[in-house]
Amino acid sequence: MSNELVFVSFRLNGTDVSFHVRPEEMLIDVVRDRAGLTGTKLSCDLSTCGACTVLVDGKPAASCGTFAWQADGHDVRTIEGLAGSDGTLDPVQAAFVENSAFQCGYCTPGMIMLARALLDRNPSPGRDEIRQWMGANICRCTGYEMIIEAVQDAASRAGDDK
Amino acid sequence: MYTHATDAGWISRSHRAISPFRLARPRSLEEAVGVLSREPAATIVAGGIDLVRRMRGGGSWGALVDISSIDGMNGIEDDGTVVRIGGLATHWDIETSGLLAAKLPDFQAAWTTIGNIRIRMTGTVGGNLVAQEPGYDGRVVLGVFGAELIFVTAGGEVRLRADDTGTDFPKAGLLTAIEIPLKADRKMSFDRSLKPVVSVAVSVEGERHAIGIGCAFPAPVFQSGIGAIEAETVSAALPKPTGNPMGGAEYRRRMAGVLAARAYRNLTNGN
Repeated sequence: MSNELVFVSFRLNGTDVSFHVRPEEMLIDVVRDRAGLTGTKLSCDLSTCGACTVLVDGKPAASCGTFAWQADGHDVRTIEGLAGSDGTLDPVQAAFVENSAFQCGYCTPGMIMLARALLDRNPSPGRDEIRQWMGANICRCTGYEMIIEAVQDAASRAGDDK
Repeated sequence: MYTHATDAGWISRSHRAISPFRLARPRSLEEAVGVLSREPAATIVAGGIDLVRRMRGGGSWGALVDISSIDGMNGIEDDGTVVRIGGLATHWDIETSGLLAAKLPDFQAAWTTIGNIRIRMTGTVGGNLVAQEPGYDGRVVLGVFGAELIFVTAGGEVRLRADDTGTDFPKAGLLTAIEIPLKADRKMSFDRSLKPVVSVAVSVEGERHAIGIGCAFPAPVFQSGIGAIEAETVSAALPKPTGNPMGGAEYRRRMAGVLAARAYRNLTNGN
């Protein structure tokens, strides 16, 4: 009845991966423990804080609240998948660094993935839209101002590149 | 609550509190209803937002029936008299629907206030409704629109008005769609500024009004009437609200009336 393994196959940061997982196994466990990508952080364990945010088909998702089998057949991106193969940071990553948009840094991977999803949909979001969107994730250090400024900065960098 | 030992300590394992279950992944509505009928300990999962939270809180089911791959259950369409929203439509589907922007803009605006962006992109309309959580507002909004919830069971289709909270959802039923009647002269307002204490939806259609009150009771409470909404009248007609540290019962009762009367004034003054 239980503990039957489920075969899942999905793209993880551009690479096809496959695993046999228990039905109750969460995506964050596969990403961290099986794939060894520990940039995605576990915090609240309740899909509330967003520290574990990854992108599933470009949509931000709490990987602690997503069963691994729900990723089957989909495209999953984690923080490790943002930088270029030569190490060039994604504009969102660079903007977070240069705007000091973190203190302890634990929420930062999730914040960056959430911001990436926003800019993929709207390359020029207004400040209110950024505030609304980024409000999905929680940071206990920065007070959010520098995070919002970093997202604005990232949007302007992307615009400069065009 | 189910727990099991892990080798790496609590912080590295996120599934420690989730009880084992069998996974069923039907490809058709008929197959899904069949599984639900055969397995009384089964429940449905689509987006999983609510279910995972329940399982982490100790909820246990023998089987999860994943309906996310069933075709044809996430559409939003209209036939001129009703708008039909598939049970697998996500909150984001509603938020970004051009059809809803044209036909039911006040409904769309109200629904856009539900959850954060992660929840809206994954969570489904059906999940919001079948969860029957006191703090979820989907049914509050749908109720004042006179919407119907459409279930499919092994015995056939079952329709239930969204404002009929006295009737249980059909056992082993699958919520496939919601139908919202289209009315040219209907206006609606939704106020969740006091959430999680109380949320209030009001619709006005000619002289008639409908009020939906959420968060303050185990299930939404609905009132309807003719003419202006008076705060004291609304409050006096309510059953005893929930009282807890987030909000006392009498405060919830009073504010439900205040918000309903305010919404009515705003709607009828054209604000």
